[in-house]
Amino acid sequence: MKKLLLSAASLAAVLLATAPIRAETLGPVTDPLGVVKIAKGQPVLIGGYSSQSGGDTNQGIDELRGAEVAIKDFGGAVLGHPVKLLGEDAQCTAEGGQTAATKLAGNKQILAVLGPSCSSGARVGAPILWRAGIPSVAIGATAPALTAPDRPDGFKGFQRVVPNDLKSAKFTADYAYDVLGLKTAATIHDGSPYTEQLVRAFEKDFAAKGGTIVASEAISPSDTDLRPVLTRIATKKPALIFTPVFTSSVGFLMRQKDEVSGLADTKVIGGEGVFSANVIEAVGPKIVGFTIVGPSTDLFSKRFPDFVKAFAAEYGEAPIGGFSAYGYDAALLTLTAIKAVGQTDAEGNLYVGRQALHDALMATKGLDGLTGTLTCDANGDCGAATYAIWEFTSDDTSSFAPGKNPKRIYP
Amino acid sequence: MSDAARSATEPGALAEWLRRSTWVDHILLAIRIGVAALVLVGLAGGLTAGTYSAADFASFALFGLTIGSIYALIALGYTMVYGILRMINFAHGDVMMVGSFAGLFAAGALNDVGIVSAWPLLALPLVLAAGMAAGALVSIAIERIAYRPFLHVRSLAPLICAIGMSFILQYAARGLFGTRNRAYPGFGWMEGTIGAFGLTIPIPQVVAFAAALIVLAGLLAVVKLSRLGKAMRAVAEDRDAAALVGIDVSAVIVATFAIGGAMAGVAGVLYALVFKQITVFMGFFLGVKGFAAAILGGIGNLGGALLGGLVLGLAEALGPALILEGYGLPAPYQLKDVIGYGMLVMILIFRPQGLLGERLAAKRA
Repeated sequence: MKKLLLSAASLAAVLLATAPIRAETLGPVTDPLGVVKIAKGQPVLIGGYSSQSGGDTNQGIDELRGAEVAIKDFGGAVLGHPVKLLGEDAQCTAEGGQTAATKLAGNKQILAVLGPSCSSGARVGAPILWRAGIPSVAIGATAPALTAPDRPDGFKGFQRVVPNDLKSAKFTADYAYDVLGLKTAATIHDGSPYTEQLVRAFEKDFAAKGGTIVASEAISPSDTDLRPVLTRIATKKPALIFTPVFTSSVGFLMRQKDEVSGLADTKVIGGEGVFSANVIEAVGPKIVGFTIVGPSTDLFSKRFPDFVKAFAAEYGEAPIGGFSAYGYDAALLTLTAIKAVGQTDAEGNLYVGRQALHDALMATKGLDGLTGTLTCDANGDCGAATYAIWEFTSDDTSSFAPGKNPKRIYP
Repeated sequence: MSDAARSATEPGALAEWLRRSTWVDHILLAIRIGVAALVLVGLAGGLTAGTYSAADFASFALFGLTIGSIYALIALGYTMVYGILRMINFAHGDVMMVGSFAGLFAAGALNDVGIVSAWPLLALPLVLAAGMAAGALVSIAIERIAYRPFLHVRSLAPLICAIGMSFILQYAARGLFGTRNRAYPGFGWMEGTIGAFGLTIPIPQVVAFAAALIVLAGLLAVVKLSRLGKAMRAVAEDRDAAALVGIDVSAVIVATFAIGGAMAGVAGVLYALVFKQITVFMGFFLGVKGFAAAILGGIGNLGGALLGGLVLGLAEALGPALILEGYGLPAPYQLKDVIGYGMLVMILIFRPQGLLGERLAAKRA
């Protein structure tokens, strides 16, 4: 009896020890994370999660539309199978990211997921997907921690085509200190990982150049009365306020800024999250002269104007800013990788190894994307940084047109 | 026996308290002292830190009164319905949102027909009237559809129904009006500021505060002086007895909801005038704030709702600057709501009936 127990225990130990490296073999493909079989005639499924509701709806809808255009440009199919994009709503919240990612992870036929739009959703969603062996290619999640070298294992399956905020922070600090000659700055974030990590990176870069951060404040996204925070900042007399918060907060901030004495001459630089027509309505007349740092579509690939035409023909309206182009590139990157690793058997079934797909995604080099040339580094940053400073010139909501309102003022 | 002799033979007040009190009383006393010490240390630190000038504090306080008066208007709706139906109308915050949107559309229409530019002073009362009408109508509809069937049922059902109505209103508005933030018009003359006592006060704040006070005074006059008010008070006291003496209880309930909804509509328009941006989801947070104000003042008590709203508004506006600043916390304004709701918890622990207390009929007390 004792012997039996002992042998059972040792058998269990052997099984446990070998489990993690047990690879799955299906058709011609063997893969440590598992293999997805797509039967002949069945579509290749790609998930997508972005902000389909809430204040950032326009951004999220544009992103997945951009991805649809990319799929169409790719011929609508990969290795003989039609491509289908399954969109989910990640809002711009951790809860939304969790719900959408859980739903997508439950579909074992999904090869890869595009999105999300926001870092808060990525922080929760990406590990859920990666635990199911699904890599994600983010469209708008720019927080540095997501691709930091010391990130948790759950983010090993995460990469992005949008540039890391560290690049945006550096660009903004250079502009404020070198071009505008401002020596003191205050920052405001709203507690979300995107805004907090971006202002921290900005503070570091600005201080490294010799500038002084006189106030580092936080609000919550639902705050409507920012006068006390602004009063507190006004006592420190900064020449600049850098605040990458979102539309409604920017609306309250800009409307209330001039009601606080001492801030009339303080310049405000916002983030790319407000690069849309909505911010004009939210801020009203005070929008004129408001500057933001955001991706510059002028610096995108030469194909961008053609993309805008194709987009407008498909959806009846022009894309907003550069969000749709990142959606396009996320889809392009994913389809290119699937094409590289997918194997077809004699009957026309397609097999894709999950680990192989992830490795192919991470190994992307010199891919000619819509936003520039995409090359992934070891941590999953694939984006081509193309930033500019934009200034709003009119408070007419219908006048939103990147290039005119807001107008590119640097570089 | 002389007074002196009596006090000598009886134990002192402290000894008497020690004899009667239990360990619960001792813990409550310790919490009281702890909270008081925390507040005092924070206050001392905040005042000596010298971050803000007296003018800053005055401007915070003025703003606190403005937002407090809006909370008070919302709180009145909760408190009136509670007084009559013993039920919390959780959809009330969303009635406010509907009023706010009605004001927005009315302002748009007035602008289109040229009234805003021709008679700018007339536009504000018209927009307020639109908000009131929409609030009252929606409130009456909610009462008819969701609460009337439960009038004679003692259960949690109306409460659950109220939460359901809140979602229905929110998502119906989302479907109809979209989720984006809508900018509120300012009618030209309201864009500026006025100077008084060395302070610069934005005109919308003054208008909102004054309008809130006028509406509150009107409501109190109705409740205290009119026949309807008398009927309302009678129904609140004892519904069955009121019916026995010939009061149409259903009509009184409808009137209560209409008045509460109108108050919420006014609050919605005034809030939008001050903050200039509205969304379909704004009713939830403001509803919770109004509810907190009603509890703070003593639910069921109209004067209490007014006081609760103003106290909550002031605590939120002054708390971070006065108390949290004293502890040198970074970014104290993130914790604004902690002050407001912390105060609510303290009130519920130490004075469960609220600041002014609910006026209970002898039967219920």
